Order: sequence, then structure tokens, then C-alpha cells
Amino acid sequence: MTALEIPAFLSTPVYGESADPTTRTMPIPCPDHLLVMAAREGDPGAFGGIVARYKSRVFATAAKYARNHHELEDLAQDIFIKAWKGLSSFRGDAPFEHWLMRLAVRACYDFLRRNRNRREKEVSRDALLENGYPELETLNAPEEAAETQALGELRRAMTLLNPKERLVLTLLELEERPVREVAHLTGWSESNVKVRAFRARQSLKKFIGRLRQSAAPVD
Amino acid sequence: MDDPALHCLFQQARRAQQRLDLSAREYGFETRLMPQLAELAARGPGTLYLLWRSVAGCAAMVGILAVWFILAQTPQATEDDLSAFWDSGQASHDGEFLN
Repeated sequence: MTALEIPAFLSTPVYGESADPTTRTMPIPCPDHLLVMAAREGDPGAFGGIVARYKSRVFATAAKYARNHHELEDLAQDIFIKAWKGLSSFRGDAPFEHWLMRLAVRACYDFLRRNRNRREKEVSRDALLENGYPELETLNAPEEAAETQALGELRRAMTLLNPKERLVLTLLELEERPVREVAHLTGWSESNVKVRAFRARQSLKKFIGRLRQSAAPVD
Repeated sequence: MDDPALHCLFQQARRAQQRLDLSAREYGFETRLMPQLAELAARGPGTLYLLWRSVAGCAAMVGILAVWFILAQTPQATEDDLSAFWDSGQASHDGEFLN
């Protein structure tokens, strides 16, 4: 049996691939890099491509810190504007997504610090529905109602935490990121992340207790 | 996490957040963002940004000028001393003495 001959057009290396078929284990460069390069050179369409690709992730991250849709939109815009301004600092030694998410976390932290004194008085489920997230209105089961209520309670208590505590709990507990990743995203050491998370949980328990006490009907 | 109540609360909150569908909010986001970026690009970097970027250059320039000033001072001082020496007549006196 003769070996199958590979057609010429198939053996032509794709951009970034090794020309030698025996060493073609190198991955094709991520198109992100191409988009970033084009955006750096002033191609607005390329940055539009980056936005289209990552907006869902950025919105999902920002939604954990924003209190309503206006803030969510502003925060997402802020993240992408910072990314656009900082494109020249992206060296390309790590995936673009990591760089962008790190930038997003920093922007969210700045947002929390800016709004530190504007702690919301009440983020009940109703407030979430009226001001923020009508998508949660589609409650199909009692469990979903309980989950939405839990989210409202948690948000209300978390607004009472300081920005660092809120950030660390959001990343660790709501986004379920490992300690190492949180350390990378925030720029803190792993032990610092653990200590802050421990203190944040203690504070959160205290605030939840207080909120439940104040919400309990007085006899 | 060692607190089961808190653990349960986080678990419920995570599930509620997973249901959060933000696609309606994301719709047309690029269309709203790109004009802002175009405006920023047209405006160019701000004065404060340019000042901040020029700090390093200015500091280097001050350093170079300082070094140049210090180095320039020494030969001038020597030259002044020599001039004073020649003008005072001390040199001719010393010359006669040597002859």
C-alpha cells in the first residue's frame, strides 16, 4: 500500500505554523494578537472585533459590581476605553484575555472605591427588579425566587464591605476563582488574598446578621 | 469556607447570577462605544498626559545641565586663577627669579 500523498495546498503552512510538517505542533497564533496589532495601528474595526469578542465576559464581570444597568453600561465602557488606551502596554507574553480581565478587575475596584460613599440603602429583590436587572423577573420556581432573594441579601450586605473585601469575596465566592488567580488579578500576594477573604467573611456575616435583625418584624 | 450558612448563601447567589441574561444590554454595545473612542482619538492626548509624559525628558535635561554646569565650573575657576596669577605680576617676578 502506498502512502497517501498530501496535496500541496494542505501542506502549505498556515500563517505562524512551522514549514516543517514534522514540527507542526506550534499552535496557530491567537487571532487576538492580530486584532490587537491592527487596533494598535489605528484600525477601529479591529478594536470593534475585540469588543464584540469580549463584551459578554466584561459585562458578566461588571454586573457583579454595578448596581443598575446605567452603572453596568458605564463600567463596561470604562473598561474598554481603558483597554483601548492601554493597548500599547500589552506585551503579548500572556493571552490577551488575561490582560483584559486583569484590567477589568482593576477598573471594577476603582469603581468600588469611587462609589464607596454612595452605599446603597437597600438592594432588595424589588430594587433589583425596578432599577437593575429585570431579567431576574422570570422566576419559574420557588427555588429561583429564593436564589434571587439570596442574591439581593448578599448584594445588600456586600455593599457595606470595604472595596478590597468586596472585591476579594466577589472573585473568590461569586466567580469561584482560585486564590492564585485572584492574587494574579488583583496584584496581591496569595497570603494577602487569604487574610483579606477571611476578614471579609467575618465582616459579611456580621452585616448579614444586622440586616436580618433590622428586617425582622418587631413584636 | 467554614460557615455552611454563608456557603449556602453564596451558592444560591451564584445560581441567581447565572440566570442573569445581559444579552439585551450587550446588544449594540460596540455601536455605542466606538463613537466615544473616535472622539477620544480625535481629541488626542490631554495636556496633563503630555506633561506627565514629558516629566522624564525634563528630569534628564535638568540632570545633563547640572552635570555640564559642574564640569564647566572647574576649568573656568582654573582659568580665572591663572589670569589672576598673570595679572598680579607674580609670574614675571618668579620668572626673573628663575633666570
